[in-house]
Amino acid sequence: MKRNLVAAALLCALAASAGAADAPQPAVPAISARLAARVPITAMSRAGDTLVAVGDYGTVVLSKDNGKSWKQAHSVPVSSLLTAVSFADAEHGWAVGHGGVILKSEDGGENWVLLQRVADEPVLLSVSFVSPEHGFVVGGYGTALQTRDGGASWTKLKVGEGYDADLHFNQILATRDGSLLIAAESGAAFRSRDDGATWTRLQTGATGSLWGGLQLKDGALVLYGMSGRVLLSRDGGNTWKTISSDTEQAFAAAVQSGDGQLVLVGGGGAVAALASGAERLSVNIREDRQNLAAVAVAADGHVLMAGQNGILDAETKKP
Amino acid sequence: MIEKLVLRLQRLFFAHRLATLAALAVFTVVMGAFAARLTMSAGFDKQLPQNHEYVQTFNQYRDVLFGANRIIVTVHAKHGDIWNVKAMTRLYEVTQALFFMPGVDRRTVTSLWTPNTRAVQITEEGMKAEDVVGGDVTVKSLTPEAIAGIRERTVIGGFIGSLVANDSTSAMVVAELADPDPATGKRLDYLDFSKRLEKEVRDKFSDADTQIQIIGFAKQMGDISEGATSVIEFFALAFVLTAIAVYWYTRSLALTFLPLVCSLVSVVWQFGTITLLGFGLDPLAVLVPFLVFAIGVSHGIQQVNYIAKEVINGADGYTAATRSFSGLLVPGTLALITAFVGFATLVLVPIPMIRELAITASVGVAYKIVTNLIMLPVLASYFRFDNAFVERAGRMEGLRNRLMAGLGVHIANPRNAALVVIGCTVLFGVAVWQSQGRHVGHVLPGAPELHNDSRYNRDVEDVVSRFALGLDLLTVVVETPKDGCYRYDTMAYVDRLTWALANVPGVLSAQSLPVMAKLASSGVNEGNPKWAALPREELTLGEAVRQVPEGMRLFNADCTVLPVNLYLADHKASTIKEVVAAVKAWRSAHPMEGVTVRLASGNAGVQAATNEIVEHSELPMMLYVYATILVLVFLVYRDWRAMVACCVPLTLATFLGYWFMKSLDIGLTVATLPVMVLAVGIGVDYAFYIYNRLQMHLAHGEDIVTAFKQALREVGVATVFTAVTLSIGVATWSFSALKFQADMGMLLTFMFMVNMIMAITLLPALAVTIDMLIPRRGPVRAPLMAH
Repeated sequence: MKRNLVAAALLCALAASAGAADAPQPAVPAISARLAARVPITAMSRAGDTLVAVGDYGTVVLSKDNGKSWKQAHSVPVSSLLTAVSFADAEHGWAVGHGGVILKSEDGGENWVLLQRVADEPVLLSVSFVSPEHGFVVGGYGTALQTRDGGASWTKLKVGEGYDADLHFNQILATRDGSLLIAAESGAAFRSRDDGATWTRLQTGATGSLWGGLQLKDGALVLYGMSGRVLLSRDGGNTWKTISSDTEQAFAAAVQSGDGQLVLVGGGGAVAALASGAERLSVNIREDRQNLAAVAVAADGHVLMAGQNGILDAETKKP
Repeated sequence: MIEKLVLRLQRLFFAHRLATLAALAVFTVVMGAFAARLTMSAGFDKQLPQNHEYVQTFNQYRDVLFGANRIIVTVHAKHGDIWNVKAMTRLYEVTQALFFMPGVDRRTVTSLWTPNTRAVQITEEGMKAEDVVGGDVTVKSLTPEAIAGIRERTVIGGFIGSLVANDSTSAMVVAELADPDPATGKRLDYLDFSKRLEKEVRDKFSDADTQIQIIGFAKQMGDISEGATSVIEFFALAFVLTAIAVYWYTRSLALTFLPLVCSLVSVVWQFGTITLLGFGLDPLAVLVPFLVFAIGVSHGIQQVNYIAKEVINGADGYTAATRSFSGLLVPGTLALITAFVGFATLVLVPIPMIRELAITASVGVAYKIVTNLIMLPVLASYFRFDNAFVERAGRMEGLRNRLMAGLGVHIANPRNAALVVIGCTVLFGVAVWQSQGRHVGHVLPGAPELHNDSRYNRDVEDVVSRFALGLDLLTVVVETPKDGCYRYDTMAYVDRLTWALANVPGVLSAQSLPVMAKLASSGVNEGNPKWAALPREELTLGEAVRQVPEGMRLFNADCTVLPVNLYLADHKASTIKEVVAAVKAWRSAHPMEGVTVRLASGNAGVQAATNEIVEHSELPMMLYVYATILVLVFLVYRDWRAMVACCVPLTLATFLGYWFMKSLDIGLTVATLPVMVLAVGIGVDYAFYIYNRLQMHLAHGEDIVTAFKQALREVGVATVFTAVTLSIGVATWSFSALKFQADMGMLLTFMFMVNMIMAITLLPALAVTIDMLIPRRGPVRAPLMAH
């Protein structure tokens, strides 16, 4: 919390001098790279059967063969760190990143256009579209935005009160019952049941930051984050239960594989699995100990992981 | 006119024999006094083309950038791993020894035991840092439990691969050297420092369970200096071998003594001259005296050959000496001038070490004119030769004549000559084809100056295989306006450059301040990878930059220098070239105002410069030498046939040399570039000796076949013997502790022998074939060089 105070003070100081600040730099397009799939990867998702991963230097890489081979997207207009990607269907996708950039693709991830550079260039951390028109973006220092026209125009959402309004919102997700869930800093989580108009702070019982969340096939909600914390709620977020784990490493991403197993990846090479119905995480620390940041399930059921050194070779774990 | 001059000089020197010798003796004593003050140097800077763009970057920033002053000592447990009391104690002792060693910057000493090694953990409360060894642990209170704690914190801190080997069998102590010494401003004596490391670290702490390995630039330079001195011993060996060879040839102690002593005298003069010129003896220059000695002996052979022939024909010592003097002054001077010009052209290569070599070698050859052409015959005039010698020498000569006459019969025979020419044409084609794709620069891993199996290179190999460590470093220096590391646009620029270069084939990893700052930025944001980007606000960016340890040398004090360190897969010229081309392409495609992207520091960076220079110098050098030879041959013989007959075998020999280089993985380097030039300059001597005789016989009206048989009979043995003596001198280098000296020795030996073989086979065959195909019309002029 102390850090947030400092950061807030810094922001004020900067805001005062904002008038003199440089005009936004014309964006430098992504570097076309031989080793694009080795760039630090922050998020991975799917557009139909195509795997899409985003990361540093405006890199977007695609795999049409379930992660065996990767190819860099044809054109991306920015070279800053991309942090999240979301596809509403096989063609329409959005990506966000540092510098307040919101990108859109209409061809399954090959070509991207810069929709918006959000004012004050906040760090955007998550994007989620519930339909090709309706989507949400959240980010650092209380940034939360909504669009109803496919990203052409965005309106601010007000999430949290007081200190809460300045927290980093790490991930936003839409649950199948139509509510929205935000995983945030310092153990905070928020829920909206009216498309973002009003938000409730949930009692997670966690102190460390929650980096993400997902809804399992059986409807249960999962939040995860620092100190190896994994929380489970079977009542739409009203109450949370801690799943015990043997690691202090933070979990950065999670996915549910075809067999219903929850797979989490995180710092220091941590890979954890929770079989459906199990009470305890089984944690495995990879020998290379690299920080992992993304995980996805390919169309054929393979679980793909990525992190500091890019996309890891496809795991041979089949459903 | 020349005859008159020779006669006048002969009277001058022989009328005042004693005075001449006394003057030479005094000069020798004076030069000897200077020679005694010669010092050995590793000569690293002299290997570099100082005016080259990359080297200027290197010189400007070498004290700021990573690597140059780093020394690494590893403690390796021969059995098991280092997580035990014994190995950890050893590691502590080595850390202490390095800490107290003069020349080491104490603040930079880093190992598991030093307080600057801290394990940082990101927790919900923030970043938690603790000493890896642990505050309450001392070397005396080490217990298995304490070591288990150290081990755990080593892993947490991410020191596996850096301070501890990937397989935990070694641990490392790293230190930077205070060079130049901040108190005295004096540069560190690498040779002395290296010896001290051996004595006070390696010898002291090695035992049955522990192996100590030491790598780093200072150690490498120390080992090179030490290796260079070992060559002095080979000089003694070469001297003895040459003495035996000369005695076998002359069968006279007096005639053995003369060329050896006279050549030795010129070496003393040369050493004295090196000191006077302020050059110091670097590993390349230390070879020049060998060469000068060998050239001296081989020319001395001509003198004793002449004297012996005169004695056999009945002359007394004095008369034989005066005749030898006047007979050989002109041809000897011409041959030495050719070699002189050949060596002197090397001055045009803008690499100080080659320049010094060119100067010392030319001076040495110039001294030969005095020692071999004047001093030797004057000294010889005091010797008396008895009848036993005359009989012995006469018998030997008869035997050798028959041998060479046999060769002459076969080669000068027109049909055989044509066959030899055809055979050599095929060989020429093969040599040209096989020598394609010759390497430039150094090929094998490790320090190129040292042998692959030298202790230093074995240490390097071991350490590199156990730790995550790159040795072939090319540093791109980005110059920015002041406080460049607090400006998002410059940092983002360097970041993109780093990633672009990380993608060049041959680059294993790329390191720069923005890359580290991005990780730090993630670190201050709870370790979240989505925050691993450069903050756009100056203050936040500054906060991230301050997390990057100064010891990584990724920025300088006022943030005007942001290097990009590229670790390459190897230091082959092709690898480096590709990286250099990528940097050039990137900087011209992405210019940024106020920011300069400069090539290149690091060992691979300076090698890039040297490679470019030697590659671009080679062809012009060769052309100059060949042009010189063609001009001299034309001046002496006034005959295009002579130009063809002398230069074609030389060219074939050169390409055979290239082929030899390629098959033995000898690259074109600062060391081998001069070798090929020297080989041509000396190789042409053989052609001179043989063609000169041929011309004389032709002038007397003999037909080409007869003339050649005569020529080979008269000088064939002397030529073979000259090549053998030259080869003995340089072949001893093959045993040198320095790889490039060994390479030079092998290459020179090969070149001398091949040139000799060409001179007694292809040269006559070619001359005969040309005369058969295009018969001469006019009479032949007598040669100027009347041996």
